[in-house]
Amino acid sequence: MTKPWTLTALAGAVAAAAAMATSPVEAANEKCFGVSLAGDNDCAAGPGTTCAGTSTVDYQGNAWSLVPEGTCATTELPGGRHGATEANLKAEGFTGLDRDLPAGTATTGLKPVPEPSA
Amino acid sequence: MAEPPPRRAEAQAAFAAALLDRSQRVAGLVDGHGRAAPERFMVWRNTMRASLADALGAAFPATRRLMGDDYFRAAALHYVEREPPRSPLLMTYGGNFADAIARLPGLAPYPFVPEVARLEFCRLTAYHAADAAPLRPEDLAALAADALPTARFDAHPAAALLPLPAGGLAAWQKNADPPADPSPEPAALVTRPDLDVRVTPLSAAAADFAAPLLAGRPLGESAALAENADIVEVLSVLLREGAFCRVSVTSPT
Repeated sequence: MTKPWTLTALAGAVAAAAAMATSPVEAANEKCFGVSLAGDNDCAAGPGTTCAGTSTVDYQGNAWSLVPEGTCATTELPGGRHGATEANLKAEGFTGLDRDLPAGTATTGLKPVPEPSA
Repeated sequence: MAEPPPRRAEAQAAFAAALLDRSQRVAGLVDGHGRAAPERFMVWRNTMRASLADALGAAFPATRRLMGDDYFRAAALHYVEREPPRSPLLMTYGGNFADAIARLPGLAPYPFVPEVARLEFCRLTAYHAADAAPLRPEDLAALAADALPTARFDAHPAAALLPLPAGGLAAWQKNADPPADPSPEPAALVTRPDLDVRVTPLSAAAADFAAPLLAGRPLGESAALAENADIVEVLSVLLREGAFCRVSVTSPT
């Protein structure tokens, strides 16, 4: 048994559905670099992935956390630090922040930022 | 690369077989002083079995909670012996684990447990699926009304619809971290529109409408078959959860 839909009914249904759904869930969070506490960075979960919880320095500049959109750069961090969103870093051609890195980390592609005061 | 000589191939086959079958021994293994070293192989074999069982435990935390650590461990090792990884990517290991535990006689009275495993692996697959921008509702709204019945959607790479008729969704929600209020619905939509995997309960009627859409069937045909579904509601859920990444229409002839 099928229930045929008239064009008008289908168009109405699609318009209603699109209107109901106008807040897509994408971009509710963004990757924020340089705000994770040591060992607390996010990563895709599951076995075989090894980066979750691997940041070894507080506020490590090349580690990121998922934060609510819009809060990344305004989050207050000690020592005058600020986070940077992935989108902003990417726009400037960087992949992270050049601060609070474990000794020996390559800084290629990291954005130079003022040395934190503490 | 040249084929290894037959003797080496045989030795490798025996070595691989002994890794999975603890009743087998490997001849000819020696330590640095030329002495037979079967115990060292056993340590290595144990490490391999344990790490694969650990990987399953990490991939199926709610299933483990439901089965209990000991039973889960035994089931995991049983699986490791029969279905060793086929890929070096550990994150893809366990694709048949739900089917394997569904065959365990001890779990027969609890059919929701294999469903929980199925959902957990589906979430893991969604985590590792390709990134894609979800279809925006306005892109659908912009289509000409007379072309709508021919509209076909491309499912987002991370999107999947999972039937869970035995209550697997509620069992997973109760045992997830953090736990969620259990839903009585018999199906789940798994999506990852951005960086987070989302699980959305669907009724049977909603799943009957969502399944053909996700499989690329035209909207008009899918709507006609969805006798009991609230198509406005289901479409809006699919759009909101990022189940699609593109829509295309056939121009009317």
